[in-house]
Amino acid sequence: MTLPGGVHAETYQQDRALIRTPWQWLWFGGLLAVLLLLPFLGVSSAVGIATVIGITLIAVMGLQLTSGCAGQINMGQSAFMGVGAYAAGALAAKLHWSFLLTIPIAGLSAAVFGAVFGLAALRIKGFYLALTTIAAQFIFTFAMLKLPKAWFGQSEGLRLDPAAMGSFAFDTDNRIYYLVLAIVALMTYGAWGLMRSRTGRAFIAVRDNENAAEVIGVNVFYYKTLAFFIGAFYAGIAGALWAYYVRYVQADQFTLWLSVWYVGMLIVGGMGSILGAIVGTVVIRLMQEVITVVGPMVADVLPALGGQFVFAAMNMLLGGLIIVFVIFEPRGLVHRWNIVKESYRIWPFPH
Amino acid sequence: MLLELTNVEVVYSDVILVLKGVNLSVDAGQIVALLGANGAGKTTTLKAISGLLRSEDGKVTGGGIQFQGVPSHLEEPQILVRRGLVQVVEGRRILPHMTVEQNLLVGGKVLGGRAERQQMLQKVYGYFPKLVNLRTRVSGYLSGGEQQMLVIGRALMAKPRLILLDEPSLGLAPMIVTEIFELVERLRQQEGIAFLVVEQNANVALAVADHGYVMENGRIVLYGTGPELRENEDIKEFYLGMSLSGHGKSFKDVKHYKRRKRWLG
Amino acid sequence: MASLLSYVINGALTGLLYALIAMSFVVIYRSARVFNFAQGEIVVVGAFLVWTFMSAFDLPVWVSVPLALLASMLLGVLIERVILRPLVGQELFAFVMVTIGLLIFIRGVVLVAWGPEVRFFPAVLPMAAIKVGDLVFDRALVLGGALTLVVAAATSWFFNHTQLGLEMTAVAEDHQTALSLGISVKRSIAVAWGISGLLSTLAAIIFLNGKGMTFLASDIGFAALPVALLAGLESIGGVVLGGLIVGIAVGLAAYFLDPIFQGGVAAVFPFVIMVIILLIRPTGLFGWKTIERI
Repeated sequence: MTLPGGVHAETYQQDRALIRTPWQWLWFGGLLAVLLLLPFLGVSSAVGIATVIGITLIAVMGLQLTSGCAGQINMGQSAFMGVGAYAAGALAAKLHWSFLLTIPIAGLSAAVFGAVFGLAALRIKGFYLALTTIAAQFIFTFAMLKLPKAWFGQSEGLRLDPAAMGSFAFDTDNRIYYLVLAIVALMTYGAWGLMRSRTGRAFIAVRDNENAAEVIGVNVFYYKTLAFFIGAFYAGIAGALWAYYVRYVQADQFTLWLSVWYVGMLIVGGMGSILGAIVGTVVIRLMQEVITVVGPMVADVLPALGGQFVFAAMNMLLGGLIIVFVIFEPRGLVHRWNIVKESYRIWPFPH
Repeated sequence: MLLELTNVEVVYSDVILVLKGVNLSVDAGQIVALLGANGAGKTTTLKAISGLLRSEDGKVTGGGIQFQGVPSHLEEPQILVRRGLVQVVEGRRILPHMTVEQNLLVGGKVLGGRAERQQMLQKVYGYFPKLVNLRTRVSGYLSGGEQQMLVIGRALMAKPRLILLDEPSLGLAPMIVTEIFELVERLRQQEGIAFLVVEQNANVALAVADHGYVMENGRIVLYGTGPELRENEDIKEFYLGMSLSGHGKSFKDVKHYKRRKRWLG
Repeated sequence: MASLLSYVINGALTGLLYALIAMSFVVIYRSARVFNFAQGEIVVVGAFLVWTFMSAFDLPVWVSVPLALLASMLLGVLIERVILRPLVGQELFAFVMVTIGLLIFIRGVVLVAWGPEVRFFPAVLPMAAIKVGDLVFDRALVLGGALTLVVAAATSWFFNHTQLGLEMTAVAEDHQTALSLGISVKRSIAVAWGISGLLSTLAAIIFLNGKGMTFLASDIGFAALPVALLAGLESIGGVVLGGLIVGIAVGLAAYFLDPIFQGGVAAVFPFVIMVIILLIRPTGLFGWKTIERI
């Protein structure tokens, strides 16, 4: 990828930096400012939407690491999220542990659960692995509904009190928003660092050609398991945050459809890059919000479409988006954006 | 003229220019060799002729290809097969999970009916007696030489007038290679089938060829009859491994005067 | 004991129904190397079409059913042409995602077109139960089971012994080679999708005969997955055996485990089976083993 004219590195540090030019610093600073000041910008529902986007983003980023970077198709990310949510929920509701403990533990439990599927990757490849994760999704729902009520509340689910540190409780939208924002920033930084490290390179090697990776000394089995472990960890954290945000955990919140939505976000955003996860999540969530607002208006105008129209329209949107993107832009919006940037930078040459 | 290429240009993915004006021709019943190093564009030439470019996002963007006097560079592969042009793609692409006989029958798709297919099947078995014993063997388990015979036999089933053979000697033992080229000669004599053979093994290809072309970087750089090419100094040096003295290359001579390819351009 | 036997036999019959749906998966996979996740939705569309023709337009059975079969065949061909053809030559993940996208999209369309209410599916096949001693069987399932066996035999013969079937197999093996032999890859795939649509609607009729149905009926598509896997995604004959095994296993599991888990075992057990199959033998009993020469 080319940089704007005149930008070059004089030290290794400079070479590996993410932000290279003053303009990039400006954009980044502006983004940070907007995020930090969101509750005060006057748009009432923005904070709620942003919180949900943030939580989803963590789960999707984990999925990006497992599927986009390491190449292990995972259709069960929602189940992993559920594990995290239930873990946090049970620990918080039954044992009254603090969120400072429950969130990491939720992440770890989900990670262990995910790693079990990484073990399966020893024998099952590619498409069949995807099927296994789909099976996991159904089995998870069954398990959560059948395990003892005292543990996970079966069909009634669990209810949580707000996350609290001493007397300071995260019980308003704004406070939860900042908590989520902080964790999103942390996880994003971690993911970005991971992809630039040795582990990240190993992931890409495993994704591109397992046999070749094995031959040059990458322990394929270890890295596959690790990919699931880390991806599920992210999902677990997201699940725990979700539990604290909605304050209610129930198995039906984590279905196969949700997993598919996540994969859809990766496809739209672009698989293989952290930015792709971010772009995909934001774009699709915003579209969902638009439909939620516009849908009832359309249904009012055309009553023949029925009360389920909003739900149906979401399905049609997601399905349609996935199909369109896979056919016309399989590498996602990030790829398209990179091409636009390239074209601009090397204009008037065509390539 | 059975096959004629005039100034053919081929572009992949709208940006990669692979063939830069290729001219070649094959007449009925001729064996023509197309030589060149890796990446010269030989397989692309064959795919342009047989219409398989489209499945690799390639296009003929200039010049023309005429098969049996009719322009053919825009035709679909199945039309061309029906007209008698079959490509045997490189790498012995059998249908691995199907038996030998099923592979052959699939090749006979363009024939009229069952009876005709059975007839052609017997004919092919006549040319490849080894395959008779292997009729019910799953073809993925055949040896390399047997597989190569299978793919040529499969091409024969379509009653071709011209067969495009892509690197038939790839990965095969020298004796089997000789056998295969003997077969090519026999088919030419007994069936009147013309062959355009892409080969890296210049020796064995030039032994049977009527005339040949040498490709480099998407262009034809040399043309001559078989005997002419065999005696050509440049061919001998760069493709047959012989130095000026006519014997095998001695590394003692490497540091001394090195012949340069006169056609680099 | 009669109860156990009843569970087993009903399980076997249900398994044969799964086998019919699994066959529509396999037909497509065997011809186009595409695993169609949206198969369950196509079953539902077929069912709704039959319902629409019969209840909304008041057409008699012998008109509605063939019409619906035709329509679902056309749907299959349409999907192939519009959505899958542009993807020829791409990697597997693209196909997987597109069929999943299709799954969601069709579900949305079904909801918009027919709404979420429960509809009553007309009894195309006779409703009276069959009684053998103490055992009661759903007549539709029995007829359906017989139909599945016949269809399986016919389809298997088609793929292994007819020219068109061989060509379609060749297309599944290697698109480029098939092209170079003069086979129209596009046509083969379209035919496969058409046949698959047909099989799906047949399955829908058997499955929903005389019962209430909603858009959620598509979940049966997922339950048929283990059958397809157990058979091996390329084996049509194996699908019948796979269906019987899975059906009986699920029946037994339900009989023994339902009391412990208070029901719901039959819905999830196919997936447990699927995971076991994937761990032990992913290519299934009869699937094409990877022939690799390194």
